[in-house]
Amino acid sequence: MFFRFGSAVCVVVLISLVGIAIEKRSLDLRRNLSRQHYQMDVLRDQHARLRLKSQELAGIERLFETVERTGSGLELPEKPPKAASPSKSAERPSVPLLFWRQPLGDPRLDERSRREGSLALPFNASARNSR
Amino acid sequence: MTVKDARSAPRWRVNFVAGTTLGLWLIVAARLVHIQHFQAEELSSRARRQQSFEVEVPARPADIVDRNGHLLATTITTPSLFVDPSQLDVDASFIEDLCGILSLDPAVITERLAEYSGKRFCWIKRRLSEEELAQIIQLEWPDGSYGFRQEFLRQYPQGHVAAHVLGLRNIDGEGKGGVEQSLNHLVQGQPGKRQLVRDAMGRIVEVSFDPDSEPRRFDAVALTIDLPIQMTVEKELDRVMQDWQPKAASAIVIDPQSGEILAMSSRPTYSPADLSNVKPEAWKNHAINIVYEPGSTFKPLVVAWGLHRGLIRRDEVFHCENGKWMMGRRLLNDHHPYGKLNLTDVLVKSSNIGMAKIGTKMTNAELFRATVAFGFGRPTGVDLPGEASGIVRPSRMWNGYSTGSVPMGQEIAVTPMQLIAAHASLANGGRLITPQLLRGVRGDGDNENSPFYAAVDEPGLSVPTRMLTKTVDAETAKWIVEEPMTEVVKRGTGRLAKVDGYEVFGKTGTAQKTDPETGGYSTTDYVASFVCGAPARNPRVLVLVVVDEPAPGKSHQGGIVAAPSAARILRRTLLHLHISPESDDRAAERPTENGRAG
Repeated sequence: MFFRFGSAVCVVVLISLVGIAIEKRSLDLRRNLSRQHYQMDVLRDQHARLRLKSQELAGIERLFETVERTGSGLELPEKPPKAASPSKSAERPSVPLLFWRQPLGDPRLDERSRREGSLALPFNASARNSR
Repeated sequence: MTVKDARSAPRWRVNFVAGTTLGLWLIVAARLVHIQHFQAEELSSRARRQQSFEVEVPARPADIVDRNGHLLATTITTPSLFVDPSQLDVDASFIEDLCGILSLDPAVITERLAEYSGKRFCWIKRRLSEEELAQIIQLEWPDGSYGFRQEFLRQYPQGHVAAHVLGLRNIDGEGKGGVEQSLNHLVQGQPGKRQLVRDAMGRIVEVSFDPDSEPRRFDAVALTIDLPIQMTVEKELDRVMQDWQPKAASAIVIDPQSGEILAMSSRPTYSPADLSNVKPEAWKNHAINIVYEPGSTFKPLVVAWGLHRGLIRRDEVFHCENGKWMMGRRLLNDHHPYGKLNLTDVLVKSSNIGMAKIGTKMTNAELFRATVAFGFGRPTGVDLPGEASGIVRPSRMWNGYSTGSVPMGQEIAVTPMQLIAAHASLANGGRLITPQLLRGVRGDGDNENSPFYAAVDEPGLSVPTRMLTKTVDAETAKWIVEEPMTEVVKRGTGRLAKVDGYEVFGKTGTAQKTDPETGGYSTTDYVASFVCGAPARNPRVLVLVVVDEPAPGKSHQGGIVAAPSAARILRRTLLHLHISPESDDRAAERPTENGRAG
């Protein structure tokens, strides 16, 4: 009788302890989740601040000042030769007339060339000399 | 006492104790059943009310970016200071410390704290700087007597660039002016809700996040503005203001094929970073708010309509009466005396007499139709608040004067936006398109089910071109652009707008302003304007510069005041967009995927 009663009490206590542990763990996880959400908000705000700062530092007004001071690197387009006839016009090298003075082999230019398709040619010396 | 009585006494006591204990247990059990079953709902709701509460979480306003993703407006959070007046010992030193740090007027703060003395919440200053925040914390006021609430603060990293296009968000986060107001439904987002749980002491112990009740917002709203072009326009307008000292000036750059506005600016202007000394006139976006008589920039539209309706011919010759012509009781003058001019030269020389004769052939009814067809007298529908409609009087009020005045751009008033939209319809083959500023939106993370999910890069999700009406046939529009308007720049009034390597078309405008004292036209105040575009055979860019009242004593002609600036803007835009001078020819010659000419 005493043994049965003691066992029952032990089971109840054990279940309670497990319940408390689970509840504590659950609270802990929820608190972590809250903290992570808060950290996410903080990081999002930091991201906004850093992006703002970077845009201010690399702002178009600053770039314009630099370009006006040092030159844009853009060359004026030359007038295309007048085609005498449609056949001559078709033979005209299809070289766009705008190009930047950039070092050859610049990977950024290759990337840009891939993106812009028809403007791929002007960014190398051979195309420039062929005109 | 017998032996039997002595034995029965403890049993009675045991029964009593057992009965009482059982009774008590039963009472407790009954109470538990009552609480758990009958009062459960009421008690749990009371507990929920005490433990947890809901707060609204405002959505962070979307960034505004240009067509290439350059940041034009973004949002950061800043702390705002509030106090609990009932917990504060407000004395002279407190006020002095507070106002010294926050640069506030001590009298105002004293009055406000007195007014809120019986209340638990009073704003002191919203949107503190980091230095102010640090100094306030160093004052070490008692806990519970003050606090900081995080609020959104809108920032414009490009300063005054495109200030009128962007507008502002006020201290309560409401869009005021510009796209901040007109696209507020996209920028603002939807607020969410969060559940907070507090302990017996009132401390927040848990914040519950439910993905379904989080704020919904777009990441970014992309405009059609191109920042380098916008910057060029800003610089040119500054130069115009410096050189000609006008009352106001505005400029618009548009892609005539799509109606996308690449740049738009107005002077005087303001910087969103410093709004303390902004003049009232600076708030006005002159590109859409002012109305003025367009003058000669209206002439190509009238000629195009006349040709389209078959009322005049391209090879027709008009006698311009050597500079003076009595039209009814009215004497018309040209700047220079001209004899016979063909239709092209009427526009190239900008002959008022030639245009009056064209007006006579067209009649008032057709002139009115032309005015309405090109979109004058009603807003263009551009995504900006406060756009003016212009002034087009009802046709029944048009008289003999109108027949001479309207063809030369008088008796009607237009906004710069209306004028460039009308000219864009000539440049794109006769389609009147609503100018647009919204290019697209970028969405809510990766949640494709969200109503705020969209991507600028995805085809079909950007804003479609909006066509209103057909104005004139494509052939007529093409001829007007490639012949008379190109000749205007080659040998006419717009010679200063030539751009090396490109075939530019354009039209000058010099309109007299009305004199409020006499009611007639002023002899000193003018609106000088110039509209131009390139390449003439395949227009990709259209520029309009309007200069309101260049300083008296200086030149006031559109070809001198506005044309050089418009040409510089046009040149830089063409270079920036990598538009080749021969793009029109090459487009025709470029082979298609099938190997045939496209």
